[in-house]
Amino acid sequence: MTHEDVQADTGIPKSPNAEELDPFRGVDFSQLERSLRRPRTFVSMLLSGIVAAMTLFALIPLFSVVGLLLWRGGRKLSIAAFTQLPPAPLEQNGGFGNAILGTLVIVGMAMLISVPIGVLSAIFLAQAKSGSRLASTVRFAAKVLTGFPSILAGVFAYGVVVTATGGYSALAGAVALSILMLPTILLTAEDAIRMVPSKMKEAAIGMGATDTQTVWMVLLPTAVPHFRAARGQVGFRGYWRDRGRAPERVSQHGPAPQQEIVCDGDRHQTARHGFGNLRPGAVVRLHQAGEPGRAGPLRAGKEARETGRVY
Amino acid sequence: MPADNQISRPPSRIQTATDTAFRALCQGFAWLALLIAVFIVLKIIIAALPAVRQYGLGFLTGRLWDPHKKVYSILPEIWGTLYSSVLALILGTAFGVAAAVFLAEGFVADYVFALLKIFKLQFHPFWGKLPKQMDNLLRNLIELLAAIPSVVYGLWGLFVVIPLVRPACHWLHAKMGWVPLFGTDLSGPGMLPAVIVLSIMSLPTITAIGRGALVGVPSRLRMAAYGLGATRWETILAVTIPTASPGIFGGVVLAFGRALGETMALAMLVGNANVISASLFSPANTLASLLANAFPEASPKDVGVLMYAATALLAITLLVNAAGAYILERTSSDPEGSKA
Repeated sequence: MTHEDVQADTGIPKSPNAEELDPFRGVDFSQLERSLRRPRTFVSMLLSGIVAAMTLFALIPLFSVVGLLLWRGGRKLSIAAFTQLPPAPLEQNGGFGNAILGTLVIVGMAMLISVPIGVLSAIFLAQAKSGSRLASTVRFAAKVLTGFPSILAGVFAYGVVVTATGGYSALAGAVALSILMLPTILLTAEDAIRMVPSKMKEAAIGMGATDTQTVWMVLLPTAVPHFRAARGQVGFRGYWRDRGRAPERVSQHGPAPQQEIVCDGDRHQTARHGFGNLRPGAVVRLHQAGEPGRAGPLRAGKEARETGRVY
Repeated sequence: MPADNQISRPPSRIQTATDTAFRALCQGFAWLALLIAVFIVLKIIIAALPAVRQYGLGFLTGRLWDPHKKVYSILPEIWGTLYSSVLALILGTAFGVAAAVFLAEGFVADYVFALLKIFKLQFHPFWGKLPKQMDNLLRNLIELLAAIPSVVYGLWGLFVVIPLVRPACHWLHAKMGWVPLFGTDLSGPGMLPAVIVLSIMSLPTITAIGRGALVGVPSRLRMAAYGLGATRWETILAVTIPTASPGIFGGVVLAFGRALGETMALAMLVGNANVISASLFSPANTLASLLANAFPEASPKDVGVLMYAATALLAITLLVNAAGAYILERTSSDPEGSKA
C-alpha cells in the first residue's frame, strides 16, 4: 500500500485493513528509547558531563581565592585594621587605613575625570545616526582601549603627570585609573541608553520634547539603573545602585498632583507644545482619535500613560 | 498660539539654545574621548623616540638587559609575553568555550529541572523558578572571576598554585625531561603558574563573548538540526558552534589582547628572568612585568628605554585588540543564517 493510499482515507480505517493501515506497524519502539548502549546517545551524555565538569572546574579558583583571603586574612580582620597605619618593620598590629583612604580618593578623582567624559560621549554615541563616522570611530577606539594594559596607563600617567609635577601623586594615579575606566564607562553607558525602549524615546519626541529634554528626563533616568560600572576595574557598583534610585527620590517630595494633558492624537499638534514644563509626577495621557492600535510610535492607553511620566 | 491657561507651551528660546549647546557639548566630548585615545598612544611613542634612535631595532632582537653596562634589549620579554599568552589562551579557550556552551545551551536549567522533577516540584511557584535562577547564578559566578583584582590572583598563585603544581612538575621533569616542555625544573615562580593564572583571568572574557555568540545563533538552525534527527551534541558541534565561531573567535582574540597586557599577577608569578626557554617550568619575563618591576627604580635615563619597551607592548596589544574588536564588530551584527 502506497503512501498516497494511506493519506486518501485517513482516520477511517477499513476494518479488514486496520492492521495494515496502522502507521506504527513495523516500528520497533525499543529502538526509539534513549539508551546509553547507543553510541550517539552515549557520546552526547558524555560530552554533557564533560562540559559540566569543566564549567564547575573553572569555578574552583573563584572559591579558592575567596577561601584563601578569608582563611589567611579573616583572622587578622578588625576595626583597627581599617583605621591604623601600616606597622613599622618587625612590629605587630597596625592596619592599612592609608590604603583604604587612598583607594577612595583615587577612585573618586578618577571618576570625576572619566564619568562626565564617558557619559556625555555615550549620549552622543547613542543618539548618533547609524552612519555617523565619528560615532563608529569613537566606539571602535573605546573597544580597542578596553584591553589597554594597565601598566601602559601607568606609563602614560608617569610621562604626563609625574614628570610634569615632579613627583608621584594621587592625581597621577587617578589619571591612570581614569584612562582604564573611560572606555568601559563609555561602552556600558551607551549600552544602557540603547536599552531604553525606543517607544519611550519616541513618545517623548512625539510630545514635543527637545533632544536634551528627552535625554535628561527620559533616557538617563531610565538608563541609570542599567549602568553597571566596570566590574573589577572600578568596583564601585554600590555607587551606581544608589544612583539608580534617583527617580524615586524625586517623587518622594510629596505626592505630585495628577497633572494631565490630553492630547488628541494629532502628533503634529502635540509636538508644537513643550514637554519640559510639566511638574514631576505629571501624567501625560494620549488619546488617539478613532483608531486604537494604529501603527506609530504612540499607542493610546496604558503604554502612553507609562511612557509619558515626567520625572 | 496656545493661551496662557493652557498646560503646555512650545519650547522657549532658552530651551532651544540649551538643546543646541548640549548637543554640541556631547559631540565635543565624543571628540575629546577620541583625542585622549590618540594622545595616549602618541605620548608613549614620542617618549620612546630618543631610545628608539639610540638603540634601534637591535633593542627588539637582543637578549641582554643589564642596566649597569647600559645594555638593553627585550627579546626574552617579547617571547615570554607571547608564549605565556598563547599557552594561557589554549587553556582558557578550552574551558571558556566549554563553559560558554554549558551556559548558552541551557544545560544548567535542564539539570535543575530534572532534579526538581524527581521531587515533583517542577511547576511549583517558588521552586519552578529555580532552573532560571541557577542559570543566572552560574553566569554571574563566571563573570565574578573577572572582578578579582590582578594582585589577588598573584597572591593566590604564590600561595596556592605554585605549591599545588610543584610535585607534579618535579615528577614530569624527572620522568620526561627530554621533552622541551618539561626541560627544566620548577623552582618556585615560573611559566606554568603564570599560565594557569592567566588562563583563569582570560576565561570570563571568552565565556561571556562566546555565550553571547552562541545565544545569538537563530533557533531555527537548531530546530532544523533536531528535526533531521541530530542529537543535542551533534547539533552543537556541527551547527551551533560553527555558526557562532566568528563571535567566539573574536572573543578569544580580545582575551588574547588582555592576556598580553596583564601585569601584576604575572610580575608576581613569572619569575622575572631574562630567559628564552620553551620549558613550562622555567622562569621567564613579560613586557608588562618588566615595566612594572623596572619603573619604580628607574633613573631618568632608563625611563626612555622603558618607554621603548612600552611602545613594543603598546603595538602588540593595540594590534591584537583592534583585530578582535574588528572581528566582533563584523560578526555581531548578522550571524550567518539569520536572514534567508
